[in-house]
Amino acid sequence: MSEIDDARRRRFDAVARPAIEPLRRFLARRTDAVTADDVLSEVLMVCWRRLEAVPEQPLPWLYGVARLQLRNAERSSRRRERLAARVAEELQQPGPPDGAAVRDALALLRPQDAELLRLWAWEGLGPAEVAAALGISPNAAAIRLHRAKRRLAEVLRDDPDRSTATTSGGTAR
Amino acid sequence: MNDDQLQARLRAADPASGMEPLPEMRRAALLERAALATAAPRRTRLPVVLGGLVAVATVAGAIVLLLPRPDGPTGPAVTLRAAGTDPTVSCAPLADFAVEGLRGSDLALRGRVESVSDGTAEIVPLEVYRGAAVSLVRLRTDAGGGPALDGPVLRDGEQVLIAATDGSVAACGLSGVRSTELQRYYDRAFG
Repeated sequence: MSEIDDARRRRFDAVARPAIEPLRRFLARRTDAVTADDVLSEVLMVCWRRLEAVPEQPLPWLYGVARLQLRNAERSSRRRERLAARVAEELQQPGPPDGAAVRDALALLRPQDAELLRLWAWEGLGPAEVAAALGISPNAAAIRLHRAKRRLAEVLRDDPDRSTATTSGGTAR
Repeated sequence: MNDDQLQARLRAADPASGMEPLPEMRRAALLERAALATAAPRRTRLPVVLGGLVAVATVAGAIVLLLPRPDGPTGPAVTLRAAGTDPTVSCAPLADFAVEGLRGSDLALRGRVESVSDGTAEIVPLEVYRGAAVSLVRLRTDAGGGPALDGPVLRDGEQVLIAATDGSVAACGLSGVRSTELQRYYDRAFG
């Protein structure tokens, strides 16, 4: 291996290794396990190919790549089959009641609002990082995030079944 | 509800909150595969997995080409041997690398058992994931009793997933009666 290759491998390792777990959780929150594994591999390959384009804070950029790869994966017919299997599994293994209620509430929002909220709460991103992940301006991200929070709060408040208060969750990302 | 309360409720609903981190070996394999796949496609096989598969494959025999069928799937028929159980080979580590192991095979397919007699199952390919098209697979075992893949005896009409190297069916759970879990491995390996 040449010195350049060696340096590139070290840089890739420094960028990608710490991102694997956050990316796994990002994907687990949005798709089934099989698709998540496939997309994670794709994201890492993109990261290797475009290593020179990775910004100083790589995670929001990698989330952006993952979103695009996930969208591609969702176009395939197999995705529908896997999703059906995943739904069947979830029906057999119900999670915490309030968790399901909040996820139901998210599903009632516009997809772009729900995604903003996921990035904020589950990935733990601030407005500037959300902007990097979505490819929008920080100002637009802040405004949209504020609106999305308000909409979710309204949905949760309006439906008595979803208005149960809970304790705080674990660490995101 | 203020921002902190809203965030707390969302985090309590996080479907990934209970995820266990990947073992370091899996993380290293992911990084290695990403770099190798980009540098030289199809160099993604893990030597340790191939070593295990070859050890298992050597238990059984050779590939025999037969004449093609006049109708149905195109390509020649092949005869495969079901690998016997080699007590010196541990299957447990292979389970962790099923996808890599499957990618190391030279023939992989989903098929339907058409008939079973005299220790040979005839299997019609429904989908070939790896290797040239074949019209029929004949699966033999050296042991007594009916044809088997890692235990279960094959029956007419059953769907099976088979991966083979040099005419020997990969064992250790990489071939067998089609199940959701096994199909997932194949989808990941060849999808």
